[in-house]
Amino acid sequence: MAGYTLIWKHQPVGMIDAAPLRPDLLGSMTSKQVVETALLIGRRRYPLGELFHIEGEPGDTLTVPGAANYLHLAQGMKAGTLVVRGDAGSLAGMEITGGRIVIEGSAGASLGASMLGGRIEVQGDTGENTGGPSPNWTEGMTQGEILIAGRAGPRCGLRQRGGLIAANSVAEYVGYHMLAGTIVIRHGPIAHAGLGLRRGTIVYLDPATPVTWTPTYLPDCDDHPVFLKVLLGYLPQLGFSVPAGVRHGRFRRYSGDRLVLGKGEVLHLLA
Amino acid sequence: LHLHGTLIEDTYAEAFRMWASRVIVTAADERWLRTAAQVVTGYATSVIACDTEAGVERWLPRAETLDDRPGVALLFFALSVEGLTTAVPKRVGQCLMTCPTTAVYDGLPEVSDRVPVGQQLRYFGDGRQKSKRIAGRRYWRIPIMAGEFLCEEAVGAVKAVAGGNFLIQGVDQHSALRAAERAVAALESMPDVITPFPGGVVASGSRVGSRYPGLRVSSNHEFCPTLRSQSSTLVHPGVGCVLEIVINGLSEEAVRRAMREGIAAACGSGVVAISAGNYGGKLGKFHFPLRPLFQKEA
Repeated sequence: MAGYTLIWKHQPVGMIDAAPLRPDLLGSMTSKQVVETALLIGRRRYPLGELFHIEGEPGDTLTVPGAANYLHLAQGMKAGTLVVRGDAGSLAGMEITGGRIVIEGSAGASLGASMLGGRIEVQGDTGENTGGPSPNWTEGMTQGEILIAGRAGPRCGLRQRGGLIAANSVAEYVGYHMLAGTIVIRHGPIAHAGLGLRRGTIVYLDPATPVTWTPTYLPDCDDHPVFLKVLLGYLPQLGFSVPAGVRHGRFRRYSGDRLVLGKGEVLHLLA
Repeated sequence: LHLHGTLIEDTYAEAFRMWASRVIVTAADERWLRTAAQVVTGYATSVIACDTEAGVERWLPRAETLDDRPGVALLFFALSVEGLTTAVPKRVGQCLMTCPTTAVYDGLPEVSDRVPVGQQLRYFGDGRQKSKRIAGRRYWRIPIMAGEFLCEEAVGAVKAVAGGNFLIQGVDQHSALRAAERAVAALESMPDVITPFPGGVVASGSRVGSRYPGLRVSSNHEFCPTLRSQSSTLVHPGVGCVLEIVINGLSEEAVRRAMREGIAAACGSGVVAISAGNYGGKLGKFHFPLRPLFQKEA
């Protein structure tokens, strides 16, 4: 659990390229090396020692203050734990392959963009395109887990290729052009879900809120999918609670989107 | 050495190396779980003539299964990983996918040698199958008439020990059977071991070799009470029935522990002696001397 803790000396105004704020990168450095590590703000590089008070020692946990003007926070992180004491800005956790990011505030756009593994936990909300493609890729996240205690922004799971997103609620166009993977939504309403979805699964756990599906989704049957018993048993282990009884609940299965491949599905919990 | 009045012979059991997989099966209720376990471990007593040796390791309460349904841990043994790769997917496909409400999980997820199961069976879905990765484990969802068959992509395989054994020499069939049943009951909840024969008991133990070409084994005549006067015999005077308990385990220690518990349960009234099957080193490299199993008790 040992590691460095960064505390603002003064928070800069411009966009901060926070890609080097990675526990697997800074955690093995001496405090002198950490102080000299630079962040790009605008067109200028600032040593961490100029921006932050740096406490602690080498270790696998890095704690940083929150900032809505972070960009690319922890990009490419492979291991360790990053704790963000506030907001995480845009493209946080982009292309990470492992480790865990805990965001105590909210995240901006494209959280976990094209991530390849690891876990991101958000205690607040997220911006648009959560788990979507990074600027470098055509596909969204392929593996890993994103857990959102609040509301995920529009187009959550945009072109998602795999992995798991679980959110308390979502804005419109969840699973937009999704390729594979799973999205679990605890509460409604949801609007325009699964448009252009080729494969993949959207699990909707709110029986009280009716959903109007587009004509390109058709109901198959009412079912007790066994894989959901596994998945919904796993989510509480990650700290994402699901309502009691849901694990063995009955779900209505819709297939779609038939405008594209049509091999995706939406599973809606029945009352 | 005597235990509860039964002689423990100064001999050893001879066991051999096999590979094993643990397959966890769940079902909607106990009835279909028992059906599934019975069918998938059928015709799996000995690799002498079966593709695998298999049996129930233990029954799992809902709290111990991934899908919160009643489950059972099964162990499958074969002479190689390739042998498991041939036997396990076929049995899962024919006996579990066809059995209502079942799902199949890997019971050894941490090991690196893998036996593909869902990876092979998914093709039954004819392109309509779906995969899901949950907690780092990959599952295949195969659409079937009853809904969906969930099967983990592969199960782990580990080096194991097969053929641990002991022989119960009873004064008659009744005494030998009751003793064998006590032994099997003592092993029922023991982890890491199975007794693959019918009801855990072997009525027709075998020895290596035969006078007939093409036969690898033949009846263990030295332990046949009916042949006592006709050939060399290891049957004690007054013995009318000999039954064998064969134990396969995931480790040498597991087999040793099971032999100790099984023998201790079998000993008692009507049981003249406990022997063991060994074949002069022809069969395997694992030797389990009987008397040292009870050194503390002795």
